[in-house]
Amino acid sequence: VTHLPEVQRIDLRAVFRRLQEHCASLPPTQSAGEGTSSSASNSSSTGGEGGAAPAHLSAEAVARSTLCLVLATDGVWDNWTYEDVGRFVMDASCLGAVGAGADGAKRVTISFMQRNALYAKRNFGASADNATGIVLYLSAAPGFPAL
Amino acid sequence: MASFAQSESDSQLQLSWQVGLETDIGGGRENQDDCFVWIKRDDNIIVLCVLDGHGREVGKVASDSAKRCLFKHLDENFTRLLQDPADFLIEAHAVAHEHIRNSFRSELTRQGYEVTTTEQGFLMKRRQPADNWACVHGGTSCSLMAVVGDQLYIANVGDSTGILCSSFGVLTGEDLGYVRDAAVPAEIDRKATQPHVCSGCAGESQHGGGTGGAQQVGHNSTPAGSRTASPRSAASAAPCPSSSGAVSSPTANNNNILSNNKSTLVVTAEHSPECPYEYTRLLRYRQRDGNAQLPALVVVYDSSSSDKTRCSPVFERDASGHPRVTNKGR
Repeated sequence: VTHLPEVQRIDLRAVFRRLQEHCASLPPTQSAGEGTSSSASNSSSTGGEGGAAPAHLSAEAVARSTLCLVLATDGVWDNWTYEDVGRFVMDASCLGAVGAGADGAKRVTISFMQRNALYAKRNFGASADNATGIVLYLSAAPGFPAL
Repeated sequence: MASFAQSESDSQLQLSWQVGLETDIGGGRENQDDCFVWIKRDDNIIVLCVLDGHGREVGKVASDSAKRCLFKHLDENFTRLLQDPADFLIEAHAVAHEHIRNSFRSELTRQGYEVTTTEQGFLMKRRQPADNWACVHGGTSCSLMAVVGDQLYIANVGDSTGILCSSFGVLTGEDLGYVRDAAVPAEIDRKATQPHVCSGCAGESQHGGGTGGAQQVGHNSTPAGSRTASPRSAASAAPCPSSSGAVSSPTANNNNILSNNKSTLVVTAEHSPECPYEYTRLLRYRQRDGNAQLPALVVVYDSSSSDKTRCSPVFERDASGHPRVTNKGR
């Protein structure tokens, strides 16, 4: 029985719809209504495909259109509360990196695991466990800089 | 532009993604963790997997062989992931389980052991024909998350946990829907009731907080031997109200841990050895000969004894029949 999994499902479309509804009541971001955003070059990416133009979203725009999945071994969870991990990966600095380029999630993951190594050393010293984490940002925004 | 699938309510929501993965040996001599991401862009599939191997001799073999096997299985069978995701994920675990067992057998044989499998499927080893058979200790957790179009499927054994995060409090416990439990015979697997929210049980055992002290070891999928909870396990799992122990009442998932501000939701199922839910799951799966009130598989606190039947059990039943963590043998 220990090798028999339990399967669960999440309708991401429903969650994204709720996120969209929730954010509709918020004051508009700088780039209200546009998939592309922030400072200098907007209108670079329209049409929804990402295409050749470098996509770019502000942290706030990413926050309003993105969910994040974190999957990790106990070498991570022994050092964090779930909420703290959520706060970390949804922090404006991380979402900014994600919005700025397709390698954002990689940079967030490196930074997250470095922080975990720090905590692990503090909490468990030399007996710190193996630790593994995967961070996946899922976005419904057309201008999202995907891989 | 920023509107997604508002008008086209029947079409699939188009998601794009970014992903990163890292593994860290920590203070150990060997990294028995492993992970991979499998992507099929044309079909809008991305699969994440983390594996936490354990067992001094075979932990690395377990996670490594599972990874290779699962990746290949995805390459060759991903169309079935599109057709029946739950079935595919259950089968993937079965395939990995069998592959791990075979890898253990060849690795131990290579090391000069004689290896055999008991009737119950446990792997045993000995050096010399005159030696006693000893259980092979080891295995790996396996948590798979598959985004298929705009649906997320999660299947896991062991305690490698996944969470869903949002910047806003838009998540609910009901987002997590029970699909199937491979450990529950189909004939008693009634469609899940409302997901049960249990605050005392998993939250305690699954995260140690930033303060340290808490460590949880063991309890993964293991193709070999008895299932043991480490004496060092720190969890003090409170009895879960859903875990009545009634064989005929499969609950949905044991507990959906949703943060107070509704911005994080635990999406993997809790199968740690000290969660009463897992005890009832074991009970539901197979009862002991001669006593249908007890599960066939006993979860014990590990000790150096080779006879695991002498180890302290993790659970006892209280007066009303509810499983209770003994905390003995720590």
